Amino acid sequence: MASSSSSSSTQVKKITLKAADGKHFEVEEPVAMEMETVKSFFVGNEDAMKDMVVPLLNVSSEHMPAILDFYRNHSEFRKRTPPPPAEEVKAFNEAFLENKSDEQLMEMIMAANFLNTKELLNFLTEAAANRIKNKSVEYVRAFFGIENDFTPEEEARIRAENEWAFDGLDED
Amino acid sequence: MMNSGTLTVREKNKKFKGAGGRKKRTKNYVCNDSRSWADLSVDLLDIISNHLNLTEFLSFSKVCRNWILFSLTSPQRRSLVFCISTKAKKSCYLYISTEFRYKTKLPNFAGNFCIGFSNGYLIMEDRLGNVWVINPITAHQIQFPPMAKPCIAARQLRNAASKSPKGGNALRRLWGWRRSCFATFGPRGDFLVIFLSLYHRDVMFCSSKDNNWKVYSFAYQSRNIVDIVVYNGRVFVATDDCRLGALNLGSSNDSQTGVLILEYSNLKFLNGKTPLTRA
Repeated sequence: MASSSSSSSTQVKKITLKAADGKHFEVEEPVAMEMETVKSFFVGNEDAMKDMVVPLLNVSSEHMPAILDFYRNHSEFRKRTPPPPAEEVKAFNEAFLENKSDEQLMEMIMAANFLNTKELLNFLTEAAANRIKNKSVEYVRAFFGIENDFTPEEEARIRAENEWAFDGLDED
Repeated sequence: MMNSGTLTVREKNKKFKGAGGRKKRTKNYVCNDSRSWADLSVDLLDIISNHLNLTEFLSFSKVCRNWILFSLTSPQRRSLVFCISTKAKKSCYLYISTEFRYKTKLPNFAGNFCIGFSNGYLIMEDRLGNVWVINPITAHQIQFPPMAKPCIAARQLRNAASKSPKGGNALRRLWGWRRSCFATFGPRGDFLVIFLSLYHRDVMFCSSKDNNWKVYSFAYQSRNIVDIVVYNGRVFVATDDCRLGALNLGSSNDSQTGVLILEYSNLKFLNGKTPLTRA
């Protein structure tokens, strides 16, 4: 948590966000405004900020600290005048994804989608795509816990489709 | 690349209507269990699939029903356009609509000619009459024996054509193959490459069964072939007297080779006019 160091004249405004399971999070205004969903909540109603609790129905409290951390760091990266070296951003992003299971990743994608932040959403979906890349259909199914809901005939037909795009002509 | 902006906005507004009566919603809200990767919404699948390349995307669409349904409506599913620069050294570009561009590197590409695109394969030829097909996605190649009749005149024409700016058109009109097809068929993965030349009035073909070039000339026949297509291992032709036929390639005996006209009534080409026959 970034301390509320009142840098210039006014105290940094805080906004209270309520996660899906009811937990409250106090967030500095600029960080909260990274989320389009929160931002649009206050459009034309700026006075409400002080005492309004913003409900985030699709975000569980489990992921809130990580998500807020992402916003804080990335808004800081953006503000820095010589932009930070790519390695630093990359290192942060990699650390962010470390120890995240696929389930957690998916929940965070849903959360980012709900919060409507392009940067986080883009980053997370790329991570998901990276986990699919160069993997067989069976692997992807097993990896993400997706049930094969095709009948054997459908499966065979689908497999034969676009065969030209895959290695070799006579691959079985 | 991100073409999902509008979708996300719509999603947000929808959610916000619900947020008005949020007490009710929070109660009903179940945090887990109802979510799985298979049930991801279309806009999320869209964003994820934007990070995949073409092969990965095709593979991605085979995972489950929800994902294949998504892929069928995705813009990535639209037609593929190849763009091969005349100065291309090793690579060509693939476009899907205007949103996606892929670059593919191919061996033996420089200085050679792409004379057709068929069944997912580029049909390539070099100046010596060697012919091969190559899959631009997987780089899978099939080499054919050198052509029985490497056409010297054609090559001279081609050289001349490459020197004059308008040469490309002249080349196509005078010499170029009207149609080149490559097809695979049968359980053993047999394949066939076939060229129709309007200028020479012949069909050249080579199949994996006999691995040799053969020529069927229709120069002295009563009807000319104006186009060919290969389907299920059979060659179908359109003739200049507005008929469709099947071309028998004569697996062993050349005397069998010929066009067998299929009788369809009321067949009309180009508003009843005879299709272009002159080379």
